Amino acid sequence: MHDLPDADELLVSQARRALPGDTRAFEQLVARHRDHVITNCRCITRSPADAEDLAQDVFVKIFFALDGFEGRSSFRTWMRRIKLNHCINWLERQKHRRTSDIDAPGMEAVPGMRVAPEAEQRLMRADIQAALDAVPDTLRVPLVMRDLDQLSYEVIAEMLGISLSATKMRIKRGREAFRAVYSAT
Amino acid sequence: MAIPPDPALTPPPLDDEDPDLGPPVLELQVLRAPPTPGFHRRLTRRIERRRVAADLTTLGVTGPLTAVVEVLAGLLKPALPTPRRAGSRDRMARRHDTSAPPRPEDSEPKNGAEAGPRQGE
Repeated sequence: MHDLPDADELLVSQARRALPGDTRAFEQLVARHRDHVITNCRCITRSPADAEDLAQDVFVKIFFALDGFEGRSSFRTWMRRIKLNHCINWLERQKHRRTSDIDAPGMEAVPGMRVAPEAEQRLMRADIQAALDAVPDTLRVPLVMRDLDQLSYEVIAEMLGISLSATKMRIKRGREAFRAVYSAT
Repeated sequence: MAIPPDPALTPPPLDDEDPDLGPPVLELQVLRAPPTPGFHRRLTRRIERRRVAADLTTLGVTGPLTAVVEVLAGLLKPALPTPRRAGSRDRMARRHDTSAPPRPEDSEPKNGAEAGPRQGE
């Protein structure tokens, strides 16, 4: 997915030139980034139930904003900004009425049980996700933006509206919090 | 429980990585939340719904505006002077203009019916 950045730009230009109703190029763009966007929405919001809806919202926004995409940054960077802004706004709205999904039924390893490699992989992912979910919003969001989305500290600081040193501090503390929880599992 | 990160999924190190902040959490790279079946279909429907809503909104704004403009144009049209062709003069204005030489069509009827008796009558 990340090996051909120019492929995105090509698909964007095709999608912009497409006739109304012809969404083939846009569908290819979605197919390339869908998994990453859903994963990211899941990590930032901690809500498996809402992650896919949020990802769809993001793609709808991208579809209607595609004509305004000026190409000053890469499509991936532009898409990340839309996605993160949408997720952060969603978090803000949910602040007062959040129902925690952390305790949603997940997969737990049964001691002594032999599991298939793919099942083991799923269990590991569930552990990572649970550890990440245990990190508070203020630390988890910059951590995901940095270590999953690979954004620069400056961009993270700008998007979160905090200073550069505060951003770095939160990322540092987020990493420590994640490792503390994850090593305890 | 430590998970060795998949090298294929491990991103290249960032240029501005700050060593004081500790190593990045590479475990995050193995996280995957695959879409449920029908993701594309639902997305396409959502886009279509939004497009229809946008069209209706546009129509809701431009429709009444166009109607108002048409009505105003219809009301104002009789009051506005009729545009004339370049170089032409109004016939009434010419009649009152004594300096202008009379034009043959002003003094003579166009058809010969009133000019005099037809030949052979």
